Amino acid sequence: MTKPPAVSLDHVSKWYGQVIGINDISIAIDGGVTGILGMNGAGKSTLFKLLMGRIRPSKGSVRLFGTNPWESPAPYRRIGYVSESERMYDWMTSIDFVSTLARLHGMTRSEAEFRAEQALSFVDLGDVLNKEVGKYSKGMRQRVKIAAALVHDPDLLILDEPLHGCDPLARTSIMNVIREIGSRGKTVLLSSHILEEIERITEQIVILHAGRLVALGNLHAIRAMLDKHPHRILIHCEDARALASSFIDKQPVYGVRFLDNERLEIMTKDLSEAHSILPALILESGVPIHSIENPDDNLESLLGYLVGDSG
Amino acid sequence: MTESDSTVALGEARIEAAYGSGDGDDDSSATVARPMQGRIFEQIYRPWNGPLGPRWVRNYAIYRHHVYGIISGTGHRRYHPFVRLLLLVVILGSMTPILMLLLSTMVSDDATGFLNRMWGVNRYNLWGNVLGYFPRNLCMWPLLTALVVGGLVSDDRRNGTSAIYFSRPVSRLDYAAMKWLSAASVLAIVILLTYMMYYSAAVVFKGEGWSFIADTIPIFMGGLLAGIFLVFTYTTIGIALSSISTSRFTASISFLGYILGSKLVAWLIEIQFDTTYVYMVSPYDCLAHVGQWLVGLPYNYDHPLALSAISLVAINAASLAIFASRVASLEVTRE
Amino acid sequence: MSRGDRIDSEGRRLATTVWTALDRKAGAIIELTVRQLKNKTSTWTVMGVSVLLLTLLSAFYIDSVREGFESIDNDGDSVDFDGDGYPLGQEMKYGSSDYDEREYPGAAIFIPENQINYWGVRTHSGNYTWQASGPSKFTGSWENISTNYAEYGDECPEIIGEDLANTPYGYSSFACTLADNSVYVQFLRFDGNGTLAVAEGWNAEYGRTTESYYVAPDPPSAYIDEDGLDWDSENPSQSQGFDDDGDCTQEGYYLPTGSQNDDDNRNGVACDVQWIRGPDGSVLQINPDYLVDEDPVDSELLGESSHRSFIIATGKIAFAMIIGIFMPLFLALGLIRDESENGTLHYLLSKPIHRGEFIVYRLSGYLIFTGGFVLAMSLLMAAVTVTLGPDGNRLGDINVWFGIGVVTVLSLAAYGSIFNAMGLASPKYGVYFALVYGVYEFAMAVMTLFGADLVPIISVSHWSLQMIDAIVILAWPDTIMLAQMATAFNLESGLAFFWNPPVHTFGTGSSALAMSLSVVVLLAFITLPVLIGQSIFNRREID
Repeated sequence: MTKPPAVSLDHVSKWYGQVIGINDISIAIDGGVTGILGMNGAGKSTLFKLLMGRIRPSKGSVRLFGTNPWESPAPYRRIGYVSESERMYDWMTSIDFVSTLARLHGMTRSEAEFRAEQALSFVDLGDVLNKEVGKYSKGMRQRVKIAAALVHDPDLLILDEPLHGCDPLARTSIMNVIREIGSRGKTVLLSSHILEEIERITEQIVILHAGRLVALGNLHAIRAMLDKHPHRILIHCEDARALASSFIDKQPVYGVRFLDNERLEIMTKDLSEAHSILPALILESGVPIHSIENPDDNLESLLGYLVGDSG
Repeated sequence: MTESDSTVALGEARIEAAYGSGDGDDDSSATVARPMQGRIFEQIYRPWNGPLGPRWVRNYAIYRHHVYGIISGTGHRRYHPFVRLLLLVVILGSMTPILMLLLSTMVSDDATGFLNRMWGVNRYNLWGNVLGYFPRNLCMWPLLTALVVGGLVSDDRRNGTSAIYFSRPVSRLDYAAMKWLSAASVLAIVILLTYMMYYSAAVVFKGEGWSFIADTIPIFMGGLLAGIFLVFTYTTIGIALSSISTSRFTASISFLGYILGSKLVAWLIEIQFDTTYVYMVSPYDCLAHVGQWLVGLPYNYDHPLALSAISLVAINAASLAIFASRVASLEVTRE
Repeated sequence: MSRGDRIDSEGRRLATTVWTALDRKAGAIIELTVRQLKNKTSTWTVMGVSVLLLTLLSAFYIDSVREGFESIDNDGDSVDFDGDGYPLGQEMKYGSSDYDEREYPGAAIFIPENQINYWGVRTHSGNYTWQASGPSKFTGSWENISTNYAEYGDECPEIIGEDLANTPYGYSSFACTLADNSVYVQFLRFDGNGTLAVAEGWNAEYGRTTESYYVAPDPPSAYIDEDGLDWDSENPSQSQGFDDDGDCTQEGYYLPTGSQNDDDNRNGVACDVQWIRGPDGSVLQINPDYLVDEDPVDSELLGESSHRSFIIATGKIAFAMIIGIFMPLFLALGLIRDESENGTLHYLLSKPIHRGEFIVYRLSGYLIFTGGFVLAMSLLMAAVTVTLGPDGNRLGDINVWFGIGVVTVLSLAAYGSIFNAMGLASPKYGVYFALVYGVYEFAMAVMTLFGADLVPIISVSHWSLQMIDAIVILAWPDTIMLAQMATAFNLESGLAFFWNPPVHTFGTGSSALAMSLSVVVLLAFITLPVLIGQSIFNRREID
């Protein structure tokens, strides 16, 4: 018998009365870091709640390592979960917090303390073990939560918005931690609504929108597919009209628009092709350039295309 | 296109927060900076110089906000449906004597004699309508007070909503007084109104004349005064407990524990050690003792009436002091 | 499921056994719960108030032990109501009234011989002391009138002359001189040699007046504790008791009335006390004849029963009712509710622990903490009463206190699981239900205290109070006797008030049965809500 994947959803739907949270999603994830992308309300939290056995699917089946999490808490032995909730037992020290949660896996007290210390050192909190969690900064608290999820060496780590509300420094260190875990061969699921965040961690993504699975796979591959769709390139320059004349008849460009005298918008259906000819054309025209932007390179516009396409 | 052309204002926003320094009536506009440009906005805090509504209007608004929620849920402080239900049950329960009076006017004579003795107007019944232990002061009034008063201040402490008042021209005294008054009026509606209805019903149903009214009105007034004391004391104790709790339920349970527990312990000590002095710590018994004097009943207690009266004043004073000091130190943020 | 079990074989180190792992998880949640409770202000407030309450009660107890027991005049015959210097007991012996200061032992007493009836012959002549109880006319020599009244010697109003019955003076004592020099009298007593005529429909008595002589007044203390319990515990016969002061047999009484009912208990023996014993020799009931053993020596009897009454009252009211009901309200209500309100529940539920187990561990943590406190307090109280209680074997105290502790722990558990089930059944209304339920339980407990046995049957407090009653009689089998003595001989120990024999014995009267039944009912009150709570929680979707 083959090993069941860490996460598998088979035609899962979840609705709350009239509202649909998840709409007919089927995915299987095993190994590596996977980013779950979606706007607020796309169904990320619902998906995680389904995985964590907190809610029951209205239709379809959810399996973690082949077991239904709603019926049995057994798979949680192999799962670490970091929730988006920021509340913790503020009166506990971080070592207490992590080791108490470790003991819920059936470890002895000493084993739990040893593992907790390890986990906290792994997230760079080794020197503030005995400080109360309530006195920590937001990034530190987030890392304590990650340590608590890691303490029993899980095979699957689920992180709900782990970077939310953290300052850039904390963000970087948490990203490093997640990448490190991924490189150890564990399965990691993390959610975010910011594409750029996910991009820095992983290339394997799942995009949800309005409860539907919109895209799945390698970020670059998805992007490349999207490159065939209309894209905009915004160029800031001294003389927009002069520059426009050099683009107007080139192949991937099918439209030009002036926002004002210094800003030029180029429409293209093949982004990479457009970018490859762009430098030569600009040099050729001799117009000084301030900046080049891809305003569509964010989740909103990505979704806009994806949804427009599928719908 | 035209939007980007304009250099300054892109959209308007009126930011009205509890902590807002503006009065909300000036036209505030947010400016969206153009990319690659910076701009620092000068912060101008303009105190409100216009005319304020009279103080009582503002206070009445607070009062209204806390009372109207019993009837309508929107726009006013929400009363939990369960509390509303309990209010209804307690009101109906305390109106049973009126029903019995009505019954006694309708059924035959010899039964009337019994019903009238049981439910008609006399010193015991007037006293009992407010101060009777079972079921009124065992099951009804304390539970009602606990649920109505429990969250009055503690909710504000928990959610930081007191800031909504203190960032406006509302003094802490106004805040405290209106909170107190709103709770007291809810209790008064239940306790005093049903008491008055009972007396009026007795007069109307029986077709009593002026001489009956002249005879009984002093007793009635005595009972009414006792009821006012009861509403005052229960509200004060409840609001004091609410102001030292961060959860409405802790406050409610503490109130119930104090009222019910102190009476029971004092009773234990009376039976076992033959002294009624411990009843002085029980608010209910102090009220009952003073009420017996007001209505003209023989006392159930061996200790002097003055001690009960003093104790009643002391309990109220202590509770008000706690309440006042807690409101004075109430944080403007969530605790 | 088989797949779930296989997880262990996939690289995970197996726990030694399933049970040790379970213990560890349970231990972790219990420890977490205890630490959370320790971190709440209200926990310490509640415990502080409980300690304060028990200290207050102990202080009263210590004070009463220090003062000892005052002798109480249980039958009230040491009182001198009329202020003539003779106590009631002495006046009764001499047949004088204690409500008339002119009557006292040794004072002249009117002894009626015969009377002029309400009907029939209206007159009588002779030298007598006359007692006119209605309008009458006296002709003859008038010696003295033993009552004072103002109008004697004055002329009567004419209206009386016309018809004797025309009395204008109602029922007051009165006399006046009629036109024919005879005397009109009503409602008074006088000495005279002559003829008394009584108006139609009224009566008069005539007889002798004794000589007055001096009797030394007894001190009131002579009538306190003067009729102690005469009871031979070795003698199983039902008839016991001796009328030490003779007020039942009326031996040595100056004027025995002779008409007194001296066999109230109808056992055929005059002036005795009927002690009804069970087959094991324990006293079940005591029926004294009127005025027998009615004023026992309080210090001999009250000590033990007051002591027990204090323990029972404290156990029932302070432990089972106040601590038992309010501590769970403060501490158990939030066991799961607070976690989900604070958003920390997911830390615990995302662990390999079944939700049902979670509830049980959580309740256990609460119970270990509060139960430990309650047991410690009850043993502390045991230490106080064992040291200060009356002499004798005080082992029973420890048993009863421990029993009270156990009963309180059972009710803590029952309320804890009930409140939790309510919170789980309805997150929105649960706490309100719990509050109302708490007040309901309290009211039912008050009703049980006052002896109701049917209405409060569906309440935890009823069964825990009954269990205390049963424990008391198991630890101190002679409590029934003490309670009976208190009722029969007017001992104000409070025992009859705070202790009732267990009611739910199916007619057997066996307290062991009552206790087992209470335990079963309480266990049902604990487990049923847990099971209901578990099944609700298992189905609950947690957002």
